[in-house]
Amino acid sequence: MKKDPRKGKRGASVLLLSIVLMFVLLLLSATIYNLIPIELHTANRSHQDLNGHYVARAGIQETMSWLRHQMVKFEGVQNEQDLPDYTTNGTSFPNIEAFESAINARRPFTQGNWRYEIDIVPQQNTMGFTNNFESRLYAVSSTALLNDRPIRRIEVLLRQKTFASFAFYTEAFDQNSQMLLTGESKIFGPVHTNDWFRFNATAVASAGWNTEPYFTDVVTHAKKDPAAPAYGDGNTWLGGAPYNTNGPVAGRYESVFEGGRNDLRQKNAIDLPSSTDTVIATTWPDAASRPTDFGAFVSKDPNTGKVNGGVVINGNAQEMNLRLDRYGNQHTVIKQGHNYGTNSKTVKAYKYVSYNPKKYTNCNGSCKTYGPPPTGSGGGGGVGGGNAASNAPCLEYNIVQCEVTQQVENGTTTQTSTDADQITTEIFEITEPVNYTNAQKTSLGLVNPDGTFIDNSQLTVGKTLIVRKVTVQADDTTYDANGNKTYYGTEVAKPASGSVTKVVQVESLDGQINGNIYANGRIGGTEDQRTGNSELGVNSIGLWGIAKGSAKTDPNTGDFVLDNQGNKTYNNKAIITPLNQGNSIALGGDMLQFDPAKFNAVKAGNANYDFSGINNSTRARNWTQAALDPNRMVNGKSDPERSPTAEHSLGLISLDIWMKGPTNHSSGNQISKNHNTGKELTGGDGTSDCYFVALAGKTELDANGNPRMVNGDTVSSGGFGTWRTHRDNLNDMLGKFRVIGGVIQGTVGRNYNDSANDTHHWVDNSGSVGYDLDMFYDIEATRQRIFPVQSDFAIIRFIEMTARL
Amino acid sequence: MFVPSFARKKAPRRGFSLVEVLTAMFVIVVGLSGVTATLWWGTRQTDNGKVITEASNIARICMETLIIQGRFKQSVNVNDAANVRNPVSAPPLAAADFTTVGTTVAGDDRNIASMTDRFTRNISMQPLSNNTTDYDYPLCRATVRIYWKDKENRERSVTHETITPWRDPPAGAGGSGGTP
Repeated sequence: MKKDPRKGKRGASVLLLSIVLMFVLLLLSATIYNLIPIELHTANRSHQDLNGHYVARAGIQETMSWLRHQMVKFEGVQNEQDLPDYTTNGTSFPNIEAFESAINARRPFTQGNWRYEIDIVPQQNTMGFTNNFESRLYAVSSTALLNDRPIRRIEVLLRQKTFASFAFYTEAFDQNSQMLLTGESKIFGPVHTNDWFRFNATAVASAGWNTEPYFTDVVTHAKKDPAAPAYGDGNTWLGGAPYNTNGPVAGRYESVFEGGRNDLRQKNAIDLPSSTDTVIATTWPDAASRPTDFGAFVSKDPNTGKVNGGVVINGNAQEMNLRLDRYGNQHTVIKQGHNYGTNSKTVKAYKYVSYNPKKYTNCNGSCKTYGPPPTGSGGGGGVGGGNAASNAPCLEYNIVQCEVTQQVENGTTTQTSTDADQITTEIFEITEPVNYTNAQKTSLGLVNPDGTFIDNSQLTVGKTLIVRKVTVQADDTTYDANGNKTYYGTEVAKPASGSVTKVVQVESLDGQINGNIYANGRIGGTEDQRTGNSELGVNSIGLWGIAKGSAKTDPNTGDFVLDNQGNKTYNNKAIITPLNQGNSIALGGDMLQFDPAKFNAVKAGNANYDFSGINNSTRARNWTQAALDPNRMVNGKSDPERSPTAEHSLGLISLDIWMKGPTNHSSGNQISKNHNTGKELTGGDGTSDCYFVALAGKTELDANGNPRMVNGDTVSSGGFGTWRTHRDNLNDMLGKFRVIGGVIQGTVGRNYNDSANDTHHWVDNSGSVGYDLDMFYDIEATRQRIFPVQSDFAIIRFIEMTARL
Repeated sequence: MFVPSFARKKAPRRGFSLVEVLTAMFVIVVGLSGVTATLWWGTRQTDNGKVITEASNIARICMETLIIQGRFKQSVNVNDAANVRNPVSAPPLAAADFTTVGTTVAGDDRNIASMTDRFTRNISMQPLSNNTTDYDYPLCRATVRIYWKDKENRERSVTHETITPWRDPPAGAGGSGGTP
């Protein structure tokens, strides 16, 4: 029988079909096998990336800690080799390289084989600083590696924090001082103290906690009042508190802080700088030619003669007036009293002796009858009124016999007199074309020592003109045999009577100053001059005027540095007195800020406008036509114009900064005189308008150069406030100030080791001593070119990316 | 004899033999078993992936909360005892730290606290240096480890580690310092 050939084929086909089916199923399984774990892989990878983020972030954190550590080391001993970007050739940075080498070898983590690699690149425009007054900038890259394979990378730009970023900072908040909350918005910007605050909320509580917030930004304090209740916020509240035993009371914090309770926070202490010594190198780069003579000098290259720095003032300055000339150029006038010399002469001496026989006259003895005590004196008084009698007027005295004496000659004595000459240095920064007539030159004293007029070729755009003048008195005693005194090689002849002012030196230099004014002495007198007493024959006025930046020039060519639109660029001015010399700056009037937009608008309308003039109808200087308006009102509220850029803002750095505000004082003292003579530029509005960011204070150091510590806290000195002997006079009122910028100060109490009553009270415990201050934060002004920086760094740019290859 | 064509072509139908059917069934069962196992395994892996993602997220919340709230800096002992598994929201953290903020829409349960129940945690903080002159004196190594049990009751974990400030640097002019 023949076999059916299909039989075998059919069986094989079934098996084949089964195998095909199995293959399909296996294929399906393989697909599922591959597809389903993707989520697991994704989850693992996501977790790895996140851990990589934390590892890379750790590298950034460690770098920031190291940078801070190096800056603190530098601040202590001012050794530039401690700076993180210390370099000798501009290309290699031994400190950075050593740190990178050490940190990249570390394995600081316990889980897995994670580590990070750091790369720190100093930015070219901040490289090689040898001072602590310019913010350093570093680009830092941190790569997280797992088993040496890169996983995640973070790149940041770090910038050193600056003290200029505060609207108000006080290192110490003296316990005899209070911050008076007025129920109005007064401080517009970040506020910090290393202490805790003492808020006086009487006015806010009286208004039912329904007032405008006094602070419009974050307020931070480093310490807590040990006596503050646990349910409070750690600060001292007088006159009412925004909390009760249950915690914050709804709406109360909002009456003081715009952001409510969340705007009052505790944070780390931030200590003030201790020295300004290193900033001199940016003001006068050539140490060998740095002047030691009395006077004001402009730094110039010893070889080229071009301006290569700023202004150094040796000796005290009674007045510094930042003016605008008639063409809109900054014209700085610095007046200094100078001891030319001393002379001795012999004169008759006298003494008082009794008559023979003695003579007597009736005179008042002790008080016999007292009148009523003055209102509010605390009571007491009347006849025999005990202790309180000292406050009551005496109506009748006991009559006693007093001896009358006579004056008789008593040989001779030697008297020593000092010649107090005045040196005036005037600096013209010529950025706008000038065309002075001879009459105008005569008025300004723009003449050479030989009496000829300064040629307009010495006043061309791009030059800096320095004119030095000396004023001598006829009754001076130290003229030479020919009746002359010699200043800067020029003889000044004794006048027949009165005084004479003579130009003794003129310099016309190529280039512009860099904006630094470094004063080895006070600007404005001490409190002793407040009452009108003269210092070396010159009334002390202090700083006032309108600040205009100094145009940037190329140090090699002297050409202006222009922006993309072809406009000149400017360095803002910074006035510095050495912190460790205990000097001060006194403000004698308004301190306005130049506004280039207004200047250009005025010039466009009147090319011959005289910015140096005075508007007699308003008593306002014409400078105000080119200044930011501090009196601007917006929606019925004071809202001064703010800086459009930092170019014309002003920085003040001194141990103490004293304010001589307009007051109602009736005795005609220096304070009120200043403001009656046109130094209140905006026309006598009763307020000192101050465009600046001021740092007044320092960290005290011990003998080893370390921060001086008392009870675990650093000790600070210096501050910002009203004239110290003036502040206690209740009749003077308090002085009203409007600061557009910021105030950074050491203490609201007294300076370290100062036995005088030298406090910087905001408002004292009586609530009546201090000053009335409005503070308007000016964000552009915080970008000060030269201003003390903190040792801490902040991240200003953050980029994160995968680093997987 | 006439035989209709369909009758002539119709071959007698034969079924598959038992061997053929058994072989085919075996092949199919083996194939389906593989697919089923793969599906079962895949489902478990998917669940593991979700849990790892969730655990990593919770570890991140713990780490960020401790940093943002300054818990490392407030002299608060954040260390859990070694080898101890604490609830995720145990102090110094709190249940509120795992509750979303903002307006809750009806039916939108964004409270993730309930999702933390299956996890435990161990936090540790180790200073990098106790020498005040070292730059890393203010820094600590912070470790957050999140644990859970998988379906086989095996303990699994994820870990995040970083370096963060926890105390003030020594006092020094120009920088943060002093005693808070």
